[in-house]
Amino acid sequence: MTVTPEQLAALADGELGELEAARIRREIAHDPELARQLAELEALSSMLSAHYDPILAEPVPKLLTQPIDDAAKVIDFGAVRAARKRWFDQPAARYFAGPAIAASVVIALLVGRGGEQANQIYADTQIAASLDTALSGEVAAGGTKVLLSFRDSSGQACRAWSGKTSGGIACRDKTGWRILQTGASGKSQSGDYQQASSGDAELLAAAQEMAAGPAFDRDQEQAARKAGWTAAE
Amino acid sequence: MQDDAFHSGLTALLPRLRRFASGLARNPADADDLCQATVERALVSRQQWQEGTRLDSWMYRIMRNLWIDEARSRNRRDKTFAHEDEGLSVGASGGQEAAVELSLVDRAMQHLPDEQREAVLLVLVEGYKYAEAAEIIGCPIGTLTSRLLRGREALMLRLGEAT
Repeated sequence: MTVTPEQLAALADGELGELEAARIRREIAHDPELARQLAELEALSSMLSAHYDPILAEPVPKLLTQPIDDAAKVIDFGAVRAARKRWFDQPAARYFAGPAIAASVVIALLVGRGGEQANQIYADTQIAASLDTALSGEVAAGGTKVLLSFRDSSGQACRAWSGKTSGGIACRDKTGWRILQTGASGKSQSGDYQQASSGDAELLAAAQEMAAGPAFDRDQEQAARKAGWTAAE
Repeated sequence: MQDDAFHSGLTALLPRLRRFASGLARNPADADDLCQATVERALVSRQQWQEGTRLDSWMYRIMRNLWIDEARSRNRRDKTFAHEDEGLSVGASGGQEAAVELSLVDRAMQHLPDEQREAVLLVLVEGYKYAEAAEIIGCPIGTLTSRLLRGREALMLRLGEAT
């Protein structure tokens, strides 16, 4: 039997199955010329490895590592945001798990029909009262439920609430609760908003964007309420 | 988590990618440029890498394709301008001077056509199986093995003569 150059190379490269490798090794054992060719193939591989492998031990230039590190950092920020979102989602999910709430009062917001500037809108007295007094998860007299509280980047205390038909986010300034965001709330017809509606989810997402830190826990809310929801020092 | 794995995987591959680049390119500066372009392309094309497939094969393929594209456009340039360049510096072309600095192995490798050189590098230096190397290049295994065989013969001839 003969051994082709391809087979000899495949043997040197470890590409042959056990049986075929054994057969070719037997051939080689009886053929000095084949043995010499195999030795040459192996010598070439060794020579190439000896030539190129030292590069593996060289330090990798910063020019190459830096772009990867930079890209990884961007991802890290994303992970931080995701973690914060989880923080928001969890208490909200708990609040919505409560029993059906019988609320008969439709909250009327003093929200204009497009003519007013957003920065001129303040919560009406009923919502303002709810935002002043209710802790997150509690349903105030008017059927307004505060979803969560947080501070925005200017240090103002802000609260997201969900009413029977609409909800919003308001931040407390010297004048009152300035409404920065409004959105649809629970189902207006069924009178049942046990589960977070898409409107509430949007409000929570908006709150997450506005928040400078995590949402208040209960102690922080009580402290903020005691302080009249004034801006942090 | 998955992104972390991607980036740390990329960083871990850099020494091997530098080795491959130094075999493909003609000089260290070209090799560095090739590595940099490969990393940039990988970061931009991150979405195209499929989770569960091998990151190393994917990276080698990017580098290899970038190099082949570069080599093609360089060949076109060389064909267009070679005569003028030679005419301006008869008997002392910069390429030949630089080649003197290169080692025996470098020179032997540079005489190989690109497709033979990449086959030799992937199998003999990077240690890929024939099937893996063929997949990186995007050719049938039979094509890979015949290029490897011819590349090897040319190298042994050249290196054998020199010793």
